[in-house]
Amino acid sequence: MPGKPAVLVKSLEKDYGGIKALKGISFEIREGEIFGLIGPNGAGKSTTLKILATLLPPDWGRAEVFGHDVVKEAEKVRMLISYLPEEAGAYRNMTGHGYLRFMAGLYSQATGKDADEMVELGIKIAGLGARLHNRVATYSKGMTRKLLLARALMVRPRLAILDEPTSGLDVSSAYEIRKRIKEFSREEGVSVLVSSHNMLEVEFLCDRVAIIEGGRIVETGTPGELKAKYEAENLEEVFVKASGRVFHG
Amino acid sequence: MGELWIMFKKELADILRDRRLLAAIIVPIILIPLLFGVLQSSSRSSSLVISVVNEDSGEYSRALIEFLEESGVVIDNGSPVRLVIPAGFSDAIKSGRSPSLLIETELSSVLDFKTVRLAGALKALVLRFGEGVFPSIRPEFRLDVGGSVLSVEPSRYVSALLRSALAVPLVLFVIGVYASQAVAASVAMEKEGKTLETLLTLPVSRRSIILGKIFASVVFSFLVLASLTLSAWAVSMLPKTSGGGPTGVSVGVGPVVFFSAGVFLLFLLMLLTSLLVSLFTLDVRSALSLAGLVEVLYLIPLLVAFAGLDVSGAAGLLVKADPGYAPLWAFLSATNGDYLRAAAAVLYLLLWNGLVLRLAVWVFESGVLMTKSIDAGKLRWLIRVKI
Ligand SMILES: Nc1ncnc2c1ncn2[C@@H]1O[C@H](COP(=O)(O)OP(=O)(O)O)[C@@H](O)[C@H]1O
Ligand SMILES: [Mg+2]
Repeated sequence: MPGKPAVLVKSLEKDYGGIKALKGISFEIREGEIFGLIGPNGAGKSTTLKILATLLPPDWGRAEVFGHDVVKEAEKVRMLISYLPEEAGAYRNMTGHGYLRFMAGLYSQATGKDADEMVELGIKIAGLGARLHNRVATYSKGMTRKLLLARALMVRPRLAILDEPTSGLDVSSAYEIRKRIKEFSREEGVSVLVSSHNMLEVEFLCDRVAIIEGGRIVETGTPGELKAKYEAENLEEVFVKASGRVFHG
Repeated sequence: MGELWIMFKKELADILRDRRLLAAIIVPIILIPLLFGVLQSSSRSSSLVISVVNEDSGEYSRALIEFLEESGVVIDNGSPVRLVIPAGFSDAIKSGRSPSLLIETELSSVLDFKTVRLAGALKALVLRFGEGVFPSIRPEFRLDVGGSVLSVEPSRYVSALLRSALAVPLVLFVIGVYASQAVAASVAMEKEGKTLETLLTLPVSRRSIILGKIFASVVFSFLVLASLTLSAWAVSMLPKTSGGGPTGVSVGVGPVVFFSAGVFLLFLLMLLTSLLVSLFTLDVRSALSLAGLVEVLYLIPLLVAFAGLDVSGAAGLLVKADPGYAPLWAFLSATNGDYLRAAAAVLYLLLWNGLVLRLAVWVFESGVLMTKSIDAGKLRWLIRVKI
């Protein structure tokens, strides 16, 4: 489907019983692109990603994945995406390998793709070696995160939705995960929506970014464009200047 | 069906490996005998009202009546339990023969356990009186159930009834208690382990997720039942009641079919309700507490009936509106030949099932699973009440 954007978000609003998490946000992600949603904690990143992952219905506005409405065509959307929640676990009683096999079995039922092939790819992405045959309960946080990322990518989704994929990880694990996401997107042509509160990480990873703050998008563009516009050295500086404009300008 | 099979296997493995579910197995094993003990002791404290027909004019029949009155028995000719002392009772004792006695019991319905218990208590008293008299007294029984008369001891009648006609539905009900605990825990386990969000974004239908959990819980419950049966068998090996054997008691096919259908629907309703309430909880402990509360709500009418309590007024209406009452309602109506009412009771249960299923699907589809949560802290009052 040339021309159909991977993600189309229009005037999205979400209210958590009085707390306005999203106050009308709009953006578009092109196919094959790595798009970063960046902003401080509580800005509304996870809420946006949950709506796109069909977990939360929006109160107002529209969200589409490859032209399919996330509310009315949720089942179609679920065939195209895979979602890595911000705080996620794997089934603790399974081994890492068992977990990948379980997930591959379900996706294979739904999409007709080969389960063994998915598991093989998952093993490669997880990079856990022999530990893959231990129970998930024995894994460190970083190992679990790698397993979950492998699960999300091995099914070769059209769109990967990754909520803070490196949060809480040590420097080298975070670096490895970023590298894997980038390589995978390039090799497989997968569109990626990634959220982060780490501006520098996003600068390394993303083709384009949107800066979100208090439930509103304050800037969208490539890291280069934004840096030039605000005469900043990095995205962190861009963020401070851009949000300052919203508050004081 | 492939995805359902995968989900089912995963759910079953999850249930069988979770240590906290052991609590769900152990608590009822302790609770059920305790409950029976309480019911039995409460029956002893309530006053025993019987009517007496004394056709004997000797001293022993008067002694028996005196003995009964001293033991706290109230004699009232309106009672459905009647002690008939035939002529020649005293003469038989004097001449060293076993005297005969008749205990007539008129049950208002097949499930009139209150009257059955009265008759049992009377029998115990008569036997105790017999201990002081040389030849042992052997009471005979006449049981009137809705017009048909049987020469069977009421308690024997009930146990035969339970064993033959009601065994299957009762077993289903026990399974229901376990299954609803398992189902409630399985959703909460996904929340505790932070696996629910991922699960809900997989290309797996909500139906398969729900049914996978329900079927796995059913299988789990059958395993629990097997262990219960084993312990019940061990208990039954202890010498307790003599006799037994078939008594020819039967209530007919229709009532049993309606009762079974009713209990099965109630079983499903318990599972669905437990699933529904567990969707709002954050951890396994609060899910089990809430599911336990649901079970109690549905069990109240059965407990009331089996304990032989009379509940009238607004409370009585509430008990009858409880879906847990519908299987009894269906059974009693069918034994009276009123199949229209029996069918209405089953329909009532069907409606409840449909309602709760719709509600559960709606909760699944709405964002409630992501936003609303009840944790153990908020349920502290409930846990305290339980203790
Ligand atoms: N389940 C919830 N209930 C109530 N408020 C919530 C809930 N989830 C998020 N919020 C609120 O919505 C806002 C946005 O949250 P979130 O989307 O998680 O932000 P981010 O991911 O950017 O840190 C915050 O103010 C947060 O407190
Ligand atoms: Mg977040």
